[in-house]
Amino acid sequence: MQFDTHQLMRHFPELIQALGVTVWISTLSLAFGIVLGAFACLGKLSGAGVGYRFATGFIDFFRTIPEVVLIFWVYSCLPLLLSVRISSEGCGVIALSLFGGAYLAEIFRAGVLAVPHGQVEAARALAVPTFHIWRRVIVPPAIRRMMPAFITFLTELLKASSLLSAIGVGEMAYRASVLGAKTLSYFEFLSAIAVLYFLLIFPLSMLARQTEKRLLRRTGH
Amino acid sequence: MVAEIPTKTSSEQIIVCRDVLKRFGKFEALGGVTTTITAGEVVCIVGPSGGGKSTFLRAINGLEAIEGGEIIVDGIHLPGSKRDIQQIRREVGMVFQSFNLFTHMSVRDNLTLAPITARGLSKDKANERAEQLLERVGIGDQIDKYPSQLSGGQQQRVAIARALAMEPRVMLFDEPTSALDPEMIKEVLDVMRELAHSGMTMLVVTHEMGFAREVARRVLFMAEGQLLVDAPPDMFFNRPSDPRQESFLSKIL
Repeated sequence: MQFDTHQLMRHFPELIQALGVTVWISTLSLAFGIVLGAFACLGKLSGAGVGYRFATGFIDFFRTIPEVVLIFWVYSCLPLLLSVRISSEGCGVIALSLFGGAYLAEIFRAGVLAVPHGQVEAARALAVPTFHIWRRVIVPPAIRRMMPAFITFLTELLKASSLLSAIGVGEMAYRASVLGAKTLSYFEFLSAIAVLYFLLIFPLSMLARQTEKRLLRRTGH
Repeated sequence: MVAEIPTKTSSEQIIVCRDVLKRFGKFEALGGVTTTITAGEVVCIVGPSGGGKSTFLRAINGLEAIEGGEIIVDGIHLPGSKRDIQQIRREVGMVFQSFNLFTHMSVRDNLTLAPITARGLSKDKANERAEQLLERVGIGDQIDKYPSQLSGGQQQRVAIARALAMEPRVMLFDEPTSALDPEMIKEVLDVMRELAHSGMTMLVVTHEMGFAREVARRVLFMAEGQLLVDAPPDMFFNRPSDPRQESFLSKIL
């Protein structure tokens, strides 16, 4: 078997363009996921009431169903349910945002709960208004503590975006399989995207490891 | 036996507690505590752990919601609205056993956060106040350090300065020296002593009997959620009036 470099190089710009799709879909899903996750996190932290029940249901549901099922469901059922047309990219972003929101909610919550309660109590005793307690006392250390998990989640999200090939979103995995089929050079294209995914994700994993180490040094546990 | 509430009509009663009740599940943390604190008084609260001392202190600034009776702080009633509680907290400073400094902020930011956000002070004014207070507690040179760079005694002095930065009318101390190494206790007690002499109204939960004897005007003994003894230090330590107080004193003195 020969590695067909020529075929690969000819179509390489298409792979790079698909890499761009992978990145923007993941970025957009991450952004929406952060918003959803923040609300779900606050709902769950409220401990009781409608917001709590809604947030708990959301988190439990979207963390439990497989991503592929979620993606197919959003693609096949959601447009019927809402009787609107949604592009496959749109469906992909919706599905990954829901998935992201549920996971990020728990990551955010863990970060908030890791802030020593005594500091929050001290701020309350000082009559610091609730908004400022969040802004100055809870959020900054919470972000620092959640950073490793957050970056690790980002790598999961980038990997999960390859599942969108199943609904025809033109991201890397989809493009590679299409090109593979067209040129019958599966080996070249699938190997190429494996390397591209690695180059995209491995630095993030390293970054996650490093922030974790730095955190351990700072907090000492 | 509870001593009579002192009837000093000449001075202002800054904290009035009537039948204060607090339960944690079935456990009765405060079983009807009644007492009055006059402005300028230093009152030490002693007693076995689990006796309700901390809970009592925390009820005064609304960190624990009470379930019966009432507390009046500087004219504001508890239980009360969120606004009332905020109002009380602006006038009542608290110092915790474990310091509870904001570890991700410099000493300066620890001291200026509340005056800026809760009192509406300008940044410059808050800074100026922070510098003065740190001088006062003897660590003016540490203003740009982080809490983790300070010793326990220094951290607790920062915590005292942080509470004072709100210019409170009352200071609550919840075992302020219990988490400190022995050689650092004195520096914190010295700051508290100076504060007492400046006329600050102080409620101090403590195991430092020397401090109570020397600085307190009254010593309260609490056990099992009850305020059992309320006496001047001389009488409190030399003529115990309650068997539980006597047994407590015999264990620690």
